[in-house]
Amino acid sequence: MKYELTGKPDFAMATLSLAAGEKVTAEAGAMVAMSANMKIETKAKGGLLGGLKRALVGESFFTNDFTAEGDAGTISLAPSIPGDVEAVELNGGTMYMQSGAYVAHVGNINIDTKLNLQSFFAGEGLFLIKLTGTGTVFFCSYGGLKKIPVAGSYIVDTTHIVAFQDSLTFNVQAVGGLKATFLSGEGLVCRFSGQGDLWIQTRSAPPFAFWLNPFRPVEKSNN
Amino acid sequence: MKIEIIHRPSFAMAQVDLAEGESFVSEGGAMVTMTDNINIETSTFSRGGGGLLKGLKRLLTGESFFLNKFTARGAGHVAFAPTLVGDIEQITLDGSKNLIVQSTSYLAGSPTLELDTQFGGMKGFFSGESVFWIKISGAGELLVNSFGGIFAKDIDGKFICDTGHIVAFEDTISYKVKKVGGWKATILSGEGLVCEFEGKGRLYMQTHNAPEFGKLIGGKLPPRKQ
Amino acid sequence: MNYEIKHGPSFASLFLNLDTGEQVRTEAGAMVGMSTNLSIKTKAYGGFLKALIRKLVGGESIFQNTYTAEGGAGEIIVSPTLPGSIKAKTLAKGQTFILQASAFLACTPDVTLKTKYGGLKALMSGEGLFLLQAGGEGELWFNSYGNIIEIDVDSEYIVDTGHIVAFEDGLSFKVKKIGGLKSLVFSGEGFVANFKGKGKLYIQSRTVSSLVGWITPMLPAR
Repeated sequence: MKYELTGKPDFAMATLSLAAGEKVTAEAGAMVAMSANMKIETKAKGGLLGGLKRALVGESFFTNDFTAEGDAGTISLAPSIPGDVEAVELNGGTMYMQSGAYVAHVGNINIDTKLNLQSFFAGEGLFLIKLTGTGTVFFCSYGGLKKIPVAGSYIVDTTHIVAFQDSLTFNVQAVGGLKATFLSGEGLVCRFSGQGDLWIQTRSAPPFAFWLNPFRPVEKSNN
Repeated sequence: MKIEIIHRPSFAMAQVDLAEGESFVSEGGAMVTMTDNINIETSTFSRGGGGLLKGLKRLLTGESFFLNKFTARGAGHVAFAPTLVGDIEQITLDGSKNLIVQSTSYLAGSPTLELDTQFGGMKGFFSGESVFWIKISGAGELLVNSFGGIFAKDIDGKFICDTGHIVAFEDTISYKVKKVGGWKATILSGEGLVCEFEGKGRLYMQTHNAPEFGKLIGGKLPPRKQ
Repeated sequence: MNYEIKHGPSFASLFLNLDTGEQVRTEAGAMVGMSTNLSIKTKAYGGFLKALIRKLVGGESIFQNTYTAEGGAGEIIVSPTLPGSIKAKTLAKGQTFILQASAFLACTPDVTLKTKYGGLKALMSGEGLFLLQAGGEGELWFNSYGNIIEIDVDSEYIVDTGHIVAFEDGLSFKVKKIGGLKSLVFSGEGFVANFKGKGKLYIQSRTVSSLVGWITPMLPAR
């Protein structure tokens, strides 16, 4: 499998060249264009329960398997959101990712949901999934991606976290004092400690949703 | 202090490197990441703040009421980004001119800059658009954000700009809000009101119009209760 | 006339310089800034009824503005509503170019636009595959949501219908459902367009409907 990432960081897209018989698993709706010999199979990955678990974390219920039949094939995949796409090679290792950041993978990768135990995270709408195995993982961001090599400790606004290696530990905390927490608009932040790679995104969804809200049509009450 | 802006013009983020004791001020909610040695102080607009009611009105329009002041306890950095996708521009003010900035375009700035939301003028602007204007004076670094790419035009004479595309302008140029073309054109052209600038000075514009984008996407979202 | 497309690929904007008497036609609401000597005329292009049809099926504004540089050269800056790219297409007499109705941004006055029915399946695709056929001669500027990717089709190619921006008249397409029934309902891919022939196809890397699908669960509770 060969891949090319284009349009970074604005409207990034991953174009994969697959050999005959090779397969890529992608989130539902990610296919932009493909050669005519790609076969599609829709699965609830991990069986029905696996699919349900993923639906809870906001990831689409179904993934599609695209296989190049009879000949080499190409397929272009893009996430739903404006932003970046990056590819990471997992060599038996583990990484955590914000649900909704998953785009596709090639190889033997196990996707497990891990609902973060700290209730504060859930309040921020941040659910993590765990990826383990060997292969290539494609993930996306809302906004541009920045990779930060953490060595010591580093603070990130929780809604800007995309992914991180499992060699890092994290702690959700209030920023500054009480007044700062409530009034600063920063809410909760995440302190990462240890040594490892962290990916952040330069935009976050909740403030965008809040900004869009007044533009929605108003429900007419029929009394 | 050093400022670096990445991912322009679509998802710009500004990283401000601070030496020990140095500070930077931003609107609430703008911090993305920072080193683990920064103090945050939250304060309200004190200069010409306008009282509680005016502040609340601004809160309803989505603009944060509060400013955060970040002070480094040792060498470190804070990175800022706005809510919407778009650009960030660094403008160096030397104190000789004031800059009038659209409220949603103010992102962050040196603590030496003065922000005044209650200065006179800006009447006749944006009836129906929930935007207010900030007069920025003093010397220091200013970060403005936009929905779209930011570009500057040095005006020497007259220039017409659609009101939704104004980011900031030097107060050496004057403006007049006008209808575009005749009556039919105003109602039907989709341009609505435009701003005719006159004089000599710099105008900062953005390529795209956030409320128009909001209306287009918003119209496709499920309805909400009033 | 000369032009420049700047701030792409995410916030592409069209910067035009017109000579005295030169004109450009744009979709309503697209003007960012302009010199004071440009006059503006608003018309429901193609007659009111035809324009109304275009609005209902295409989502394109029924009004178009014609700007004329009077008594001197003038400049005008034009932007679409959505963040994305802009591309220019030079049309020669006898050529036609098909574009998604929402992709039209601006053109020179001798370019003609006609609505083109995308077919029943296209209607059902929900992506609003409503097409315009551009003819005549001159310059046409079209925009996208996301990047524009140019594909030289040489026999066959499949594209998700929401990602189609424009294509040359050497190509024809059929809208089909992807895979089997289960795929149709759950795959998220829905309908695809199977292009056949030889010609350039322009696709966009994002769709408004997937942006809407992504942000909707995050909206504040009603």
